Amino acid sequence: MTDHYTRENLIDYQHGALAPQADAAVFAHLERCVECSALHDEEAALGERLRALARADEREFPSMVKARVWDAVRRERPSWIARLPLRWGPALAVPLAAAFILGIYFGTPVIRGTVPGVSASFYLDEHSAEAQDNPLGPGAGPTVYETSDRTASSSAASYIDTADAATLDDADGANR
Amino acid sequence: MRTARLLALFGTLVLTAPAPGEAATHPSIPPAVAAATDARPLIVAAVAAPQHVSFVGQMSWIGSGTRQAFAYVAKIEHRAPDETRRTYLAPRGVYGEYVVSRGAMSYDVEPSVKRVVVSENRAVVDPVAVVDDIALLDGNYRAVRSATDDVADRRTDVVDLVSRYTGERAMRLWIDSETHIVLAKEAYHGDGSLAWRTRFDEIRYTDAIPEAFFATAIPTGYATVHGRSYAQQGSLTSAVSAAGFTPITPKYLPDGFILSGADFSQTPDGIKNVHLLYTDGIRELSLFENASDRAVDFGDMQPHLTSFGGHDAQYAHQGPDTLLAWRERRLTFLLVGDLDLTELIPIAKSVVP
Repeated sequence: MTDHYTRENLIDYQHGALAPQADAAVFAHLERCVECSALHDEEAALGERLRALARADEREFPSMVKARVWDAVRRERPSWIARLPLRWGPALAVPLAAAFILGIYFGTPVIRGTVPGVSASFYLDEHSAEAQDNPLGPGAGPTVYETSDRTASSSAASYIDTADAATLDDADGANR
Repeated sequence: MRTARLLALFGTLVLTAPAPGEAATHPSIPPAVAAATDARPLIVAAVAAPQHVSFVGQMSWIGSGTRQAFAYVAKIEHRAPDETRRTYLAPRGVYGEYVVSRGAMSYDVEPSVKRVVVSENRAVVDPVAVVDDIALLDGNYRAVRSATDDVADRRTDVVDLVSRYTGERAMRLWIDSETHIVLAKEAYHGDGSLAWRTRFDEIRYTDAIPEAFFATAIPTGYATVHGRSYAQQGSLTSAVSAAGFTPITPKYLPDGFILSGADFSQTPDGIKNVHLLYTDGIRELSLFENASDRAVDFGDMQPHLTSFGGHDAQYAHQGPDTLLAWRERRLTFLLVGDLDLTELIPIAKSVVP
């Protein structure tokens, strides 16, 4: 037996990329060809090892957004309500806490319909920051999430302030 | 370190491939199914190139949305093996902001607010093309050299990354034929439309880049903010512990996607979120969950209503990304990624089948 399949052929076979006729031919060939069978096993083992490595490794995340969020949290001054118990002690804090809990209990149905939602741009920016770590991603862009330290961009746009971005409306949009 | 390990493994794979002409004869394979030109050696070379090649240049990025495209322009200086400075030139709002990466450390200098965010592990040695997670990539995509082209007055090999599951081209790379630096990249949606692209407008290879370009001393009057530490691992266990509730994971993911990490995030007003990140090597997908009663505010993203599995939901497109938000089991969920709505809904359905 002098005919052998190439490594590329066998990779295609392993990924089910061959047409049924070719797939059957490779299958039959592997049954009787020691060399191709060994190459096939080697490729399969290598593929498994690579996949195992890919599953085992955890991706490291950039955390520029998180740093800014925590920075904003740290800079935020406690409200006067938060400072009140410290100033007046438990004697005032306990009844205030009780009143606060009762207020929350009775007020929740009303509040529920009026509280502001969580900004979608926050999630978009968190996602973009994590995705920057993907070596095949678009790479790190400029600052994407705006805390109180910077002028807020409208939607954070995930990437850039739309007012400053090169905005290319499509034909439909341009005609509106 | 992981890059080196994967490179070694992948290099073994490439180097053990038979040399041209080595195999005397081959059984016949129908032309339609014969393997196309295997470009994995080019990918390996592209991964290693920034460790050996220094350059200066200017690059642009364009992200394509449903009705709009977003862009930025940056100047790049890279000195092998691992020093990179990226200075943003446009849009005006970020003009002058720059990021210096030295090894595993990254310094994000923001003149507008006079501060420097110092992080570990954000550093991306090559601004365009560190093709790191080759193992996952190799499992999901076939690398095919399809043509030659010119980018920034340089001759390039054009490499397509084609999904092994759908046969669709997901990404195209333009790799400098001589230096193997990736000079351009394009990512495509499932329907073939362009999702985003990066491209060097100009590039010049030189080792004569002044040390001052990569200075990391904190400028006088600037505040220093510490970003993520390398020791902070993104694991599901730690994310669950920090969030205070048990997240629900989807039972279905598109072919090739795996959970690549989990994180805990907190909004400025204190909403705790678990962030699950999935990838297939090219595309990224995030699932956020929180136990608050707060809905997702899409702001000016012009959300649309939809429903699936008895749930009302909202979705919006922003740049190349799609967002899908809904509530069930007293949790708020939000999926976001550069996938189409038709790909997101089956995932959402599988969260609580």
